[in-house]
Amino acid sequence: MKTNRRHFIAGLSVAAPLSSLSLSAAAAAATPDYFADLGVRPFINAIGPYSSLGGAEMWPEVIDAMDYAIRNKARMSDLHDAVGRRIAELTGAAAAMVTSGATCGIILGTAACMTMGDEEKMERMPDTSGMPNEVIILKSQRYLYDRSIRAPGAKLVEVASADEIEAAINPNTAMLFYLLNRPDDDTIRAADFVAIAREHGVPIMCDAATTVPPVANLKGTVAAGFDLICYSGGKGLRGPYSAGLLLGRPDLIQFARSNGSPNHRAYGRSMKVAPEEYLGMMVAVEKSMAFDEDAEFQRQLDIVNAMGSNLSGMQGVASVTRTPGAEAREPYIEVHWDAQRYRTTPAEVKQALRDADPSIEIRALFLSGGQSHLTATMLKAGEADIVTSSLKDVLLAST
Amino acid sequence: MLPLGLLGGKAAGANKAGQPTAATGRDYYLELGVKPFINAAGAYSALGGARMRPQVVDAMRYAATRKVKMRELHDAVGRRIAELTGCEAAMVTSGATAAMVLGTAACMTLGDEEKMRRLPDTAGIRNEIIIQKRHRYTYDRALTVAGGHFVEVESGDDVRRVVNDRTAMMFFLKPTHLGDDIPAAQYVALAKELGVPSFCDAATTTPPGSNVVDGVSEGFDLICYSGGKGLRGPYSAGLLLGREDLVRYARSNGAPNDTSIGRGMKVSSEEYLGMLVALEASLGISEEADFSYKRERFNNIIRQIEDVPGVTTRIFVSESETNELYLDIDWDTGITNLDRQQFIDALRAETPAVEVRMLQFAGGRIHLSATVMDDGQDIVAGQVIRKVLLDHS
Repeated sequence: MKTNRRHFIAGLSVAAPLSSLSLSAAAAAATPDYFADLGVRPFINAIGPYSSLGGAEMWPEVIDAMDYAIRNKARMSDLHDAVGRRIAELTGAAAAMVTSGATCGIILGTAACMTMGDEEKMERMPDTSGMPNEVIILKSQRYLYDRSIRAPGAKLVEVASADEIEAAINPNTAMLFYLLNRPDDDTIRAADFVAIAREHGVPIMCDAATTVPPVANLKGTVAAGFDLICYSGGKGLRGPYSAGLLLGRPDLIQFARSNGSPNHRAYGRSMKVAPEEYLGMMVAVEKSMAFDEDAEFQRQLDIVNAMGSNLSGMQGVASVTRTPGAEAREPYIEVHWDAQRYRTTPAEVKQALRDADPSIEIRALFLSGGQSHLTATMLKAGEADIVTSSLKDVLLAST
Repeated sequence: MLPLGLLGGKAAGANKAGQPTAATGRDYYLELGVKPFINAAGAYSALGGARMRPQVVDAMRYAATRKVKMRELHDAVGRRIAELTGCEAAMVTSGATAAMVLGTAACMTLGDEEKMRRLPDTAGIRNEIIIQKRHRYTYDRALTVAGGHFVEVESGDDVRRVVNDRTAMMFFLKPTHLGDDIPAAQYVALAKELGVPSFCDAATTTPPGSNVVDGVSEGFDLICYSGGKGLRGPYSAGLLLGREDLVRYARSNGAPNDTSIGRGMKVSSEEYLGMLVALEASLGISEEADFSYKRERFNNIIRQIEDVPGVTTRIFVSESETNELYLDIDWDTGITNLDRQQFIDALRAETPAVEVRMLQFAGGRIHLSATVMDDGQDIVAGQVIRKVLLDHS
């Protein structure tokens, strides 16, 4: 994998002079160190592929495909049609589109369900008076990103049980919403939620953004019968940062597309997806679906275990390896220390590592219930040792 | 010597649609059945936008393989763009439309978190956008996305009469074909006097890149540009420039902030950096250099068709704020039996296809643009045009 990457980058720099202008040879020969010039610091990522940290490492083949789309122009509608068909084939969905991210998928999917292709309604959003604009959501599934459901003008209707869902459905209901893999939620099973939606003829959307890896989940979710499913592209699928997938019913996907870019007066015209992102996302799906995830899981597990035993060698420090199954399949270690010996908190340790040289990001605070977590998803060769020795230094400094 | 992949199947002598990739050798458009084309129309979004300069692609590749914290990158690139253009603050958006949505959201909420969370519900929030009747256009739709409402005016007196404590912003469009009832300088002065933020959509006013600096100097509180067109930056990128506080508020309303109305308008780190490099490059290139590149492309096309009986060609500069070079092509319909729409359709049916400017933008005539044309594509486009003309003569 590492060798491939190096080979790949070398290949690209050789190819660059094929580009049009004579400037290209010089530019490719000596790319300025832009981040150093701008004073933007590199960091070691032991926390995971979060958007605010630039997302996941793209597959080298994705960057290669993006390069292709930059050099070869196609009509956007042709590209959208062809890539949509291919992603649908790969995932088993009836239809597919690439969005500017999972959030965009939620926005365009909601807009599609509210307007159902009616041009007058599409033009009027976010004013949704006189059109179905209620989205039914479980109280236990309210979360940060349900904000995007409201962006095109929908209103959230909270329910707490299957009976309440049935009671809440009315002619103003645009959509039912289901958040997949909410930990500790057993209000209602996905299959029952889907069955209620079917029975009442109301579209149901599923946010599955955080459910890959494992990519094996993807086909199962598609088969579960949701009318629309959205995924993040720049995280578990290792596609472009500002890309995502919306999969589902052909009519709804078509309506979602009508509400998006490059349609001039669409509500979602601003959520542009570049041709290179469109094609790159397709290749990310191809790559992810053919990838040996068990081997990758084992690779990461070996790294976090090694970090764990390294840290546990310190007096008063203990490490527990966690291998969450259903949710994002990312092994991590939870690090505990004797608070009498090391007089520092997880929040302070997180900050100290961020301020260290090189800067290191680890998980602490609300994302991990206040615990210190280390992950290996984004670690490059040699970085695990830097993380553990820095963490040891920080703990020792507190004694 | 023609660049390999730009020719399409026949001309390249192989079964190819595009130029295969460097690392894997795949020809994606061939696999997908997507027909490539030569863009002699212009940097339209529907046709894939502009031709990025090599150093922009290079910068994107640089950013794609080096992760940094988005906020730091946004701060640093914003500062640099502000220095380059002479504004207080700057941000990269996912296009000019996104800049309009975020700018409107900024002016409506002015950093109030409760209001930001509530958008697009703007009950009890300043949500009136003053716009000149003659500036109503396709993309004004973006101003209503975050919950803004239009109040149309036709004179300075109108503005004074309609401005009230619900007024969020005074919007200005340039350039317009219809002209302005209230010219830019007067509009800006009026906005300042009335204490209302002014916003200018200058998306289509480049090239040249120096127009950005000129636009900023006119004093609008916010001004936006498309990144993937005249500035030849990434397709889904644009610029929002202006007052420090308003740009900060606009950023709060956008990605990667989880609960912002603009969270869907993501901009990747490669697009952020690529936009900066595109702007730098555009500011370093003169209109003369740009025109001489385009003139050379047009002359190569003309050489392919000038001996076709009845054909006339003319290179001209369009008369608007954005000086753009076009090639007008005409023919004697007594010799070549084609009307202009048939000509366009015939070019589309060829391999490679050639797209020319849409008739409605070209006053019903046939105009070619060289803005998205690579060195080498000109000759191929000329050969295709020659074939279409001769086929019908």
